[in-house]
Amino acid sequence: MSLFIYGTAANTGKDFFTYQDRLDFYLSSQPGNVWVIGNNEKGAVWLANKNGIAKTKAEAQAIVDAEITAAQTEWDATSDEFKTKNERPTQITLP
Amino acid sequence: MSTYKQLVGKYVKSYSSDPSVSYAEGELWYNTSSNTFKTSVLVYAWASGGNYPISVREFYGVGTQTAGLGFNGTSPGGTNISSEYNGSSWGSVVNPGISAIARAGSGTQTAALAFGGENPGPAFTSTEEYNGSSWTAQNTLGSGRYALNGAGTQGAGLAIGGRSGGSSPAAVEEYGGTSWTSGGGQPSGTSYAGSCGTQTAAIVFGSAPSATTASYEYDGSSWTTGGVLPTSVQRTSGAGTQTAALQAGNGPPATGLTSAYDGTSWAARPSMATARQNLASSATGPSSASMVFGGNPGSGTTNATEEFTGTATIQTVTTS
Repeated sequence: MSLFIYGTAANTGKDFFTYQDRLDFYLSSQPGNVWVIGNNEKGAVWLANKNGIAKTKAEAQAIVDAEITAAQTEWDATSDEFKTKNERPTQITLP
Repeated sequence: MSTYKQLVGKYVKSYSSDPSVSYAEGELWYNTSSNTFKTSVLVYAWASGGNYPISVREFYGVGTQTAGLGFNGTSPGGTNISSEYNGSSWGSVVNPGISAIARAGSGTQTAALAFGGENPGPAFTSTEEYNGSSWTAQNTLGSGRYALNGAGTQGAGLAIGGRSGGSSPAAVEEYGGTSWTSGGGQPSGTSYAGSCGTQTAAIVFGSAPSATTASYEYDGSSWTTGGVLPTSVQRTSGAGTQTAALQAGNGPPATGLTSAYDGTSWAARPSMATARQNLASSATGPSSASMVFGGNPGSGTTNATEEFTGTATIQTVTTS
């Protein structure tokens, strides 16, 4: 069994995830509203309760890749002054 | 074999039922009903808070988890937005007098101080006070700086390090309520660091562009070396006091790295759900009940708020 499940869900703010959620399962937000969630019953229920859309790891990675590529394109078009103060976004590999 | 009495200096108390969960952290007792040893420990975790009015990074925050204030930043492009947090949602936007990126501040939600920044171009010397409803320009910093750090109150603020042009001056200035005067210079200039504390008991940690594990403590006149962080950090945030500080966020690459300081040493804490750098925090609130908001999660900006809480929890002691 894999350690994580993946999905997309928009962070609605307060109580989107709670103190107890963080004790019950692993949770990590990624670009593109992608969430990496600990693969247990409470993690799966959380994604469903948040109207999340389950994704395969490959699908989730593709969403993150697209976000990073867009951010890199945006960074490439910025001024030299901006580039000296902000590093180019780097690829993120989902766990 | 040593006994508990020999190690701790007192006997283990026995109770038929567990005492209040607020019983002192680290206390050990024997529950005669369950025939188990039990203890009370603080369990830490991040939870989501209300989303900030805009997605923004390179800005600053002051106050507490239930009475916070965020101001300025880039969205992208310098903004002149500030907003108050009540523990669940951010209020209507109030406009500081200038649009600024990488500003710093001190004080509380209803008595705040903002200073420095850029937009971009020459670093600002601008100083403004917030009274809970509006911002008012004050006497300026002696030297223009952005990516600096703050500590203290509105009437006794501290401006630490930052950048001016391509360098990181080690300059420190103290605000007395009407004007700035020179403070004790840093051992080495910091920028995009984390900080917290007061004008006479502050701590600053991390720095950009080369992340560091170093922290430095200020006593009102000079700096001394503090504890070494578990991981090198930059573009991070701070909350709490010199002897109970919280560091959150790091990058690039953006991480949710969190650690806590007890005045002597740093220890790891659970990471935020949203990895981010260039974030803001409730910098002047307690470290055990703080919050962070906004920042750069690796691409663009976020408006996500997270609240850090330590809750006393009774646990059964096992040998495994």
